[in-house]
Amino acid sequence: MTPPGALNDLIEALRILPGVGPKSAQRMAYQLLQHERGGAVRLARSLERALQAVVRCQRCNGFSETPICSLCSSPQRNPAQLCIVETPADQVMIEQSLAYRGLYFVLLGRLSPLDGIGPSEIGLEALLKRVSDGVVSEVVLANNFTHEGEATAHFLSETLGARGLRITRLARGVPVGGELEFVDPGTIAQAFYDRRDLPPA
Amino acid sequence: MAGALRESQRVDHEPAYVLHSWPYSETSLIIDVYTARHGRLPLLARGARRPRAALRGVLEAFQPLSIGWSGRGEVRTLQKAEWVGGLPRPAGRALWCGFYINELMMRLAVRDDPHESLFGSYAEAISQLAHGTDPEPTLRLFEKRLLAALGYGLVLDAEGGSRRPLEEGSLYTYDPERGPIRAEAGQAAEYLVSGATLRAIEAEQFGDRQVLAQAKALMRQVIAYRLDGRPLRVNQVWREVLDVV
Ligand SMILES: [Zn+2]
Repeated sequence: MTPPGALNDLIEALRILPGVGPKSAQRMAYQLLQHERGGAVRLARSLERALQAVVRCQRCNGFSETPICSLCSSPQRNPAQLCIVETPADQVMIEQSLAYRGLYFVLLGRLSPLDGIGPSEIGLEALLKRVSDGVVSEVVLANNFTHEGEATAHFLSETLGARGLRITRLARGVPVGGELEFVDPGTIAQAFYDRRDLPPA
Repeated sequence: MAGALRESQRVDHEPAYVLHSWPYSETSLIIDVYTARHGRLPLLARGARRPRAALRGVLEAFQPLSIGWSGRGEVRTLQKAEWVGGLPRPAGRALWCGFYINELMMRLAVRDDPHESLFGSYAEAISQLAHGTDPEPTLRLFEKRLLAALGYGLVLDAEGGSRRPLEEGSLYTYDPERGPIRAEAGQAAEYLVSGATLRAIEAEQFGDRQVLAQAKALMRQVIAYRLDGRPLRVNQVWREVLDVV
């Protein structure tokens, strides 16, 4: 039996979610219509509202309900520091660390040379405009520690360094509280290559 | 059924490098690997993208691994991947050269067609890039050995067709199918390569600046020919990068 048109449309629509194939899309649709009709209404409304209200911040490219997000307009933040992240989720993680009081710029992902993804596809122009405000003096590269993230960081350090900015990169190594026994060998190997001198007592 | 079982493959402790990977479903990866005895093949790495997966940080490009897989059909299933180690991660320009080498492998090395000598050449090139030596001689040596291993070896000992010996001081064009062709005096060509350079490439001596420059132009042309004129993505992105920097 083919499901009715509206149900079929819903199943098809759910498949845009990451990792959702035809089977799980069907299960979700039945769940919503059969047992969660109230929740389904909430989902539909909040999706519609978010699509209308949420835009990308003109300064940091992150999600915002105002043209300039609250973080970018906060007087509590240090406007001389700009931290570059690959995704809004990375920004959330850094915020949770409470270690950073500067501003952010969210790239549209990362360079991926083997997939043909270059500078124009990651929002480089907007970044160049952002760092030329005369206030930013340090750029913190928080790109991921994948090879693509490293290639992106290398590219940005060359491009932005040439503009006279101080460029820093997050350190990598063994996680805090991490017992070596449970850390993957790649991380331990790199922590060895990147080991540093301790200051004399 | 028995036939299908016979085709099923089980391989263990195979030296390998990951060339590239793509996300597959919610938590898995498809990896393209080059192995010592089985050549290049795609593998499904189940659950490799889970936050605490043991394979996270192991299935990385530019690192020697020892892997095992099983299954049949085009995409077999990775069962095990062990860190062999010993290499820093290539950084900066060397990292981009690593991407270039990996794309060459993915575009030119046919699947399930092993060349143990190519595996060795690849491993040597990656090790040199990781240790930060000048990447240009590394790339030229790898290109020469890659072409030879895949049956596209350059003719470097005599003129193509006539088989006349090469003269060190003479200039040549290079026909990808035939080999070096003696250039006419004043001939306009995309590039010319001297007999001395061709001899140096044959001897794998890339220490001289002029040899390096001529070898680069020669390799670029021959590789473009082997790629049927479809450009490498890494080169396109790199050119875009150079425009900005
Ligand atoms: Zn903002």
